[in-house]
Amino acid sequence: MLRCTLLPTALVGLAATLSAQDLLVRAKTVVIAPDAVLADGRFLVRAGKVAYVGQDVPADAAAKATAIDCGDALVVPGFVLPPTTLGRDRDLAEAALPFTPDLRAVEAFDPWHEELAKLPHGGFTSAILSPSPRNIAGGLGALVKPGAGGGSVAAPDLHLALSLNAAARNPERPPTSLMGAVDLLRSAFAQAKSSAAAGPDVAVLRSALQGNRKIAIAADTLSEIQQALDLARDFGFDAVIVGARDADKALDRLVAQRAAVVIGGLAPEMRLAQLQFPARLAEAGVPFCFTGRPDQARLSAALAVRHGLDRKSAWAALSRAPAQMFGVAGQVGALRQGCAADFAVWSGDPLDLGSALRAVYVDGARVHGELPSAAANPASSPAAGVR
Amino acid sequence: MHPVTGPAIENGVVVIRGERIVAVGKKGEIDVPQGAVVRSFPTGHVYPGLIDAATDAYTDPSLRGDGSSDGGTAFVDDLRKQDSRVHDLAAQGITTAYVTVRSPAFVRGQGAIVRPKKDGGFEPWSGKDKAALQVRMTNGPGRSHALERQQQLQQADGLFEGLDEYRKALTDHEDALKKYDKEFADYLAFHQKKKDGDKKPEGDKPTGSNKPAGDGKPADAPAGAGQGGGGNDPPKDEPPKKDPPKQLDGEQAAAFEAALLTLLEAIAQDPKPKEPPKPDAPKPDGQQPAPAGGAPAAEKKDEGPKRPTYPKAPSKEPQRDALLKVLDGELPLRVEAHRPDELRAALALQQARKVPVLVLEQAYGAAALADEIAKAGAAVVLTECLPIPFEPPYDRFDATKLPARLAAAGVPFAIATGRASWSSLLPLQAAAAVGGGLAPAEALRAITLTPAEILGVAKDAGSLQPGKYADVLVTDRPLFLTDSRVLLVLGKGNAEYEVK
Amino acid sequence: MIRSLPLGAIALALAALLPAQDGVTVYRNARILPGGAPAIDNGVLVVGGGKILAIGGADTKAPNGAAVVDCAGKTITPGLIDASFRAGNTPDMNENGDEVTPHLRVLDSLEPADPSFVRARSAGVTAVHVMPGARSVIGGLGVVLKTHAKDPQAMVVKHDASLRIVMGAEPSMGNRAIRGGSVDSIYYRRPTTRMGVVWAARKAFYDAKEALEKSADAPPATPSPGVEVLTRVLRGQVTAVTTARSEQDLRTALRLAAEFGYRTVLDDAQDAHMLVDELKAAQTTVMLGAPSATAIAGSAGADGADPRSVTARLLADAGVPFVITTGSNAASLDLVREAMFAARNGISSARALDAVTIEPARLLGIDQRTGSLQKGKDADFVVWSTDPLDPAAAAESVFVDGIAVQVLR
Repeated sequence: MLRCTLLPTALVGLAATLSAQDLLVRAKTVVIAPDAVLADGRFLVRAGKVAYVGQDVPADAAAKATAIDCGDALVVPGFVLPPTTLGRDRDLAEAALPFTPDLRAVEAFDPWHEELAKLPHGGFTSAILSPSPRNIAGGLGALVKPGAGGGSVAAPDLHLALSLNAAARNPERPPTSLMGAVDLLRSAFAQAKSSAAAGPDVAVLRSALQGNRKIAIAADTLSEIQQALDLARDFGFDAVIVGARDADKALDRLVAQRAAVVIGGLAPEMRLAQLQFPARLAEAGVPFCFTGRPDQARLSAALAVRHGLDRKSAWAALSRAPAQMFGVAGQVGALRQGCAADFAVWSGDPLDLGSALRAVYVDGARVHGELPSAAANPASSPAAGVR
Repeated sequence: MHPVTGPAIENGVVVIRGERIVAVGKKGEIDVPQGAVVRSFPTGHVYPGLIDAATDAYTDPSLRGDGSSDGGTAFVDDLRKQDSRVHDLAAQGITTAYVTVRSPAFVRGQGAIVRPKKDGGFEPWSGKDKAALQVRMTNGPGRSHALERQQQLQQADGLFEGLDEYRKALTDHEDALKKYDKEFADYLAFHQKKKDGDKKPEGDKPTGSNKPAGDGKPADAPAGAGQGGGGNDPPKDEPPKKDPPKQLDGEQAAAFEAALLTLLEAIAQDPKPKEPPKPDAPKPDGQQPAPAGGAPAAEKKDEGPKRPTYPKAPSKEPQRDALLKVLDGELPLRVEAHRPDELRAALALQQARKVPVLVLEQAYGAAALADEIAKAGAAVVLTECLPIPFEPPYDRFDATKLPARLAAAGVPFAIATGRASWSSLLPLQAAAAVGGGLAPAEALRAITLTPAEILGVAKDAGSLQPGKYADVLVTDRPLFLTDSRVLLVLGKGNAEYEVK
Repeated sequence: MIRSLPLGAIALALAALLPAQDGVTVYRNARILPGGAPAIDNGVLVVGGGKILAIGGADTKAPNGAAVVDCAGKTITPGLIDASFRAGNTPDMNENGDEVTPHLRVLDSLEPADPSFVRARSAGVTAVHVMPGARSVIGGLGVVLKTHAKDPQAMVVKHDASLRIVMGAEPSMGNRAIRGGSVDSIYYRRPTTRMGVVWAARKAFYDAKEALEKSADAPPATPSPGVEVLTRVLRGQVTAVTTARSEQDLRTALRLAAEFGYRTVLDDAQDAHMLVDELKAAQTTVMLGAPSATAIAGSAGADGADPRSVTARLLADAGVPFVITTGSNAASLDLVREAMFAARNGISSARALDAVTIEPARLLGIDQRTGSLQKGKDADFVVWSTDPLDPAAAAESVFVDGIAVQVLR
């Protein structure tokens, strides 16, 4: 309904049209998802999507396909970057109004932005572009991808980005206080629930409350997190808490309300409790992933593993968890049949810093790195069928 | 078992006696002494204790902003046990660490090598507690200009200015001291002989005559012994106190004692000389030596040897002392330099002043001139070796690829944390270097043996070899895996950390 | 090592004082000041399950097997209640977007982990009444909280306990274009004067009254949430608390209340000594904020109040009901010291203690749960080293709902 048909469909279809030929990816280890790891695995890529996995790959198709042999390397789903403004903060916060749920991050998407082009350097193949948390209701996020021929939009109008954090309480315009911000959201949700109201902003809120899109709320302090969880409880949705600095004090409530959290990236200097928090979240069963710069996400996950997080949860935090939190698990975050062929080739487990990133593919097309000459199929150059 | 000096040993055994390793090898090929305590880690990995070639553990945090230190500052004087987990280096497998402070001072002082102990304790490595002179030849990430580089180089070069004269003054002083010792001994011997000869019958006479002599002395003093003593008080006291141990010649010592006794008696009997020493120092100084024999000698116009003048010491300059040690190769010069131009300036300094041992710290931009560094024979201590990109303007340097580049050029380099809060990440930093293309064995060397060589403690640490200290780290998984855990840390054979 | 010693001591003391949360504990041999009732020498207090099970003289029966704590020489009082408490000092306490925001709940802005709660309970305060900041004419709804609870949500004792109205200069502060700033700023607005402040309040109540009268005739259209709150005030369902410091503002507050026919409590009434008769005639309860403070609360003297140390005595002598609070005065002492100050300036010790326990509980409508030591009430109490109004008194143990939140000895 809100989806704009005039969206740059050329961009969406760009990568798919490029790779007319099938690709057969083989590696010693293929991580389909954190709990599905294939030894000597392979999968077939057709039209930018994963068509067959492992034993399901038909022999004739495999024979015809261009092979990408990754040898000893590890193939993992491309990482998914949770809500980010990709350095476009200025374009993603409508400063004049605090409440703009019907604005769309996709309108501010620049396919040639350098932050987007840098995503693959950290093993990322997609990002949730999100309105800035400087507005109480910023608008709708979008799933975007980098690409050799410019970035693309994989899914517009994903989640509703709300914010209760300090950045949203702007002293230059109401609301300036947390109670004012809470009141604003409460009355807006109440309005959306009543059938009388209408308008584009109400429609967005209503569809979110009906479960058609996820609701992410930026909240850092305990009081902000509590208010966010109160809203989720009173209006019946599963919240994704973004930022969640004091989430360790509200762990019980997060579990009870099936909330997910997007926590800040970890840094070596942090307190022990902070470094151990991901392990506690995993133990409590709260889905989580890391915000922060894409080039730091791998280190965040490694530090979490260093402080007790199991590797599966760390893998999930980089790929499957954000995809599920924002409702795009069918498209990205795993290499299951039907998902986009977004994957990265690492020399070893990316959670071990001794592993190096060899190559990154988005929609079956290579966007970063280069594999050593394809030994299995010398006839085809490694770049064949890519551009 | 990973001894660093050789290939990994499956089913390895290390035998420790006291604080040293006595044998390393494969199980079955090594004689394990009977009655030895056996610690077995069937799935574990054994490494030499890690060496952190630069950390600020145990230092006072306030020193980090303190620019007032100079080359005479020794950080070992201000180390203390810190009340924080990040300062528990032993728990991270680090058994030797070079401690320094990243202060903004141009010459920061002398870093210390310490041995981390259990529960965040430590002990200085004896004899290595002043282990290198730290100089900072960088402006950090701020704006910088070629002219500033020139100024910096001049400033660094200026440190070495006048060192020859200083050294000459020191050696001259030493010679003069020797000469003085000899003359003073002669002088004492002469008077002792004389005293033995004619003063025994009237033992109290010289003391009796001292009173008027003491009072009447001032007139006489300028001409005689007073001249030398006029300078200051300490030289007067020093020769008698210092000399005897130097020349423990039995006779002379006895003579000295006798002279000293006389002097003390004279002072004890005469209340006046007791009071004046404080109010006006120079004058009474003249009196004191007089009773010892100088005055009677002068009165009697004795033609014996004149009382020698104590040679005046040149003013001591701790920074210059340290610099002399640097020039003598006793103390490495550690220069913090970040960018290629700063590194080049450091190498130029080394060339100009013929610095024997140069260590470059935080050399983020070293990839650009790795070959030059190799040619100059300098070593490098790398920090911030994690896959976090630098902020501009350093973003053009790649921290994880640099180690591989240095290894290719043959530059000896160590990977260090640089700060206590990163202590648990020392192995991860080395692992990140592997991710940047460094061979795993080289990476392990960069946190064990190479830093031992750079710190000058390779004789005792850095690898699992018989004769070295029993510094041993046991982990449950290979060290470079992110989730490897420390099981046991031995420092000189003592358990400094053990997982429960 | 050195640090672990006192910690260990505290742990030991905790173990002694708190056998189990649901276990029954008997506090013996204490002098008990139950609040609103005569003192009991050599009294016994029986506590279990977070409630007071029994209180009385030495012969009070205690269940077998109960842990016994000997409180010889100590004094036990109810947990203190601060009827006007500043929690935190963040910009979140005021919504600057509008001058009249009756429906905003200060609870939404409160940080449960705020250090001010820790400080309050360590000084023997077990319940507090928090109101929105004083920078709005009608700031919103206050809340009564315990100063501790295992779950932050369980801290709330009473929602919507009050509506804060502020007279004087403070609400209009900042309502001018910043020099060189834009006239588009949200702060460039009315009120900028005392007249404007009263105008804003009067307009709000006028609208509410109109809505009330309309709703009497016809079924009401959904009123705006702010108007709805104000109609509840006019109906007497929500207590109005008017912050007014100087004589001028106090008179305005009384006049406005009379004009619209609501009753109001006067908060921070530093000039109350000047209009004792009027207060008595209006039957208004006074919140005496920080009686010890000589500095003027709020906006740095702009209100021109003249606080006197005898105010409490004058009010007590005239029979004007009052409670003692720390108020919005940054220079205030701990609540028990403010009560001590009032006692030393002419009111009886019992009256002073009541003014920080049972009186505020009644005023806030929470006296069924707390405010005095009575069988069945919450186990909110304080064990003092000596008489609490002694300047040397220390709150040795503080219990909120039977949970020890402070143990010193």
